[in-house]
Amino acid sequence: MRKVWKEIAFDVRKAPYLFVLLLIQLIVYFGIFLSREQIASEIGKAEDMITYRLQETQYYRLVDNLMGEYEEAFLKNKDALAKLKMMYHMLSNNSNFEYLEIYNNPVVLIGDNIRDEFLYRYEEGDAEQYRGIVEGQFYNEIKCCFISCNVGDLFDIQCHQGAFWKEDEKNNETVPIVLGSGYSGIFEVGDYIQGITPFHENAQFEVYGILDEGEYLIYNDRIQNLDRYVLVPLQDAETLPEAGGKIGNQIFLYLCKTNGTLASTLPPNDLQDIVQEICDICGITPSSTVAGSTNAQSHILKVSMDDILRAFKEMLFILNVFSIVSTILYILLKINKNQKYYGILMLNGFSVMQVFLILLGSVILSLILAEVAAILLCYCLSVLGLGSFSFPVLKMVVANMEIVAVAGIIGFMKIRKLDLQICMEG
Amino acid sequence: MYGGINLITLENINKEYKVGSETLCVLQNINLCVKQGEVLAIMGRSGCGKSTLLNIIGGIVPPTSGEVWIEGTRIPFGENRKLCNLRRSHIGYIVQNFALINRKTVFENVILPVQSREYRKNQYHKVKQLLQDFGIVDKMNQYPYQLSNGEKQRVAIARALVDDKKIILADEPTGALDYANAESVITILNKLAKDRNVTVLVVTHDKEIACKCDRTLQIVYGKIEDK
Repeated sequence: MRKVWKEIAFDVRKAPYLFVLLLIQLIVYFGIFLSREQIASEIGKAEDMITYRLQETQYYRLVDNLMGEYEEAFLKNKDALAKLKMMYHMLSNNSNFEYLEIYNNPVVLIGDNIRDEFLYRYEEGDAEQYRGIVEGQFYNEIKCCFISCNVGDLFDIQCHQGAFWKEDEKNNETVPIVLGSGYSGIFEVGDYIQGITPFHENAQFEVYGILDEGEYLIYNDRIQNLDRYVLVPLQDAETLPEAGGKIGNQIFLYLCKTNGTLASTLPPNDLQDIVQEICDICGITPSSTVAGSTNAQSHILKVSMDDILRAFKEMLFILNVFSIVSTILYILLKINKNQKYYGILMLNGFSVMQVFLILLGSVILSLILAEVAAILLCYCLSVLGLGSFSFPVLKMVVANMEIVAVAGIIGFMKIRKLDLQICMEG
Repeated sequence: MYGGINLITLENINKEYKVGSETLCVLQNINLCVKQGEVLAIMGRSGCGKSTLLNIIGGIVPPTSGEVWIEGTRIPFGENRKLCNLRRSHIGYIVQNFALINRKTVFENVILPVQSREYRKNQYHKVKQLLQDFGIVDKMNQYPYQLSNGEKQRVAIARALVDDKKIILADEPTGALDYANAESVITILNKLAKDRNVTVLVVTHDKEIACKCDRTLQIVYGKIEDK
């Protein structure tokens, strides 16, 4: 085998330009191959992680894409609030899903009887910064979930004491709240608590109910246990005081209201199409994303990931055929160019199989080098934050074997029929 | 002087080529025995079939009919692996154009038939000795394009001998050489036959070369005229 390896290296050196051409072509092929796998892998993770199944209905988080320069552009628009209101109205009245307003955002409860475990980010271990003392009073930033009235019904959330607020009670001057079971013994139904919300600088809360232990809802693809939470209604905009701040109370309210959860039996891609249509009608760009969908449009390209993947697949098919054809051409060119050389080898003790391995060796070498280059390239892209690195071993092996098998069969047939008289002639 | 054993035997060899719709008969009913250690010259006009005969003996071209025996073993035409083994063990080739690989040094060309790790060290000395015997050891690290034709042919002979082949098939080995080099080459071949008991078959146009061989075969219209 050593003499075959030596001759492979020699064979490559004899026609380096041919080898390099083949190598470049294979690097492109494997680079696109691995990129496609990276994208598909990201989508697969998204699909796995985002949706939560509860009986037949699934729950999909709706997320806006108004960030950075898009947020700035949207807020400068004088119709921004009207657009968000229209979007909220269309979401709330769509027959294809039930729209749930669920939005986690801490609120402040004032008092010295709030235990540490209720504080925002207590479970993450950095709750200390969410409690302060001002003029002798304790200001506690606690875990809170803003919800709409239909959330309790849909998740069948039960109160141990009291009850949820009714639809017409959510806009009361004293804000109705329901406490998680952890608050039992600290507060009772009917108690009033001073506090601060993103919408009220001085809010007065009235305890309407305390939940049974272990009640939960589904938020952001996971079960959220409500024992340490306070539930607050997302009130109507008209009842809110107008306040300052970067984006204004009402716009912030409707941003919360339009980042809810869709409860539906439809698949996420169908829901994405519906949301896309709603956003188009309301003039909101870029449109919101239904978590778990694969057909959300890119902001820049105006095509969805599905479209991109489909394009990759078609490109890969063409490249695959091209790779096989170019490898066959490479083999035929090499045999044609090196007939005498291969003939001399065969006259000097090299078998047909050994000569074939020398010929195929340069192909296999180029495949290995191309794969290594493609892997390095994709790894660098993943380090730069362009997707996570994915290396599907089995698929790569199959892709390689396709090329080697087809080119190898043709190469072997040609080598077997090589006329050794060509070496004997002058 | 060559021994009494028949190393090569040809029985009823015929070779035909199809040229369009016609059949060209190159060799007809060839029967031949070549003894071990014999130097046999094969002569004839151009196109008479002498190179074809040599290629049949070397297993390069299959006959249309008939059999070739080397050291009691029938040449297995059509069975590539057995053919390769036979060539590897018995037959060395020398041709008019030398058939050297230009991108390999003299040493690498000579060692080609025996490139294997286990024998590397031994073969190095053997190659060096061969090149010394042929007076070109100083050219060991040079490339074929740096050598004269005579030197190239000696490299080719060294390659044919490096793993102790019993048969050397030489197709016009002196065709590209001047008189002095041609003489030198044929002297080397005769010495091989004498000292190492190697059987040498030489295809040549040159009568003077043929005279220096043990026996001459004349091929006329595809048949042998023994001289």
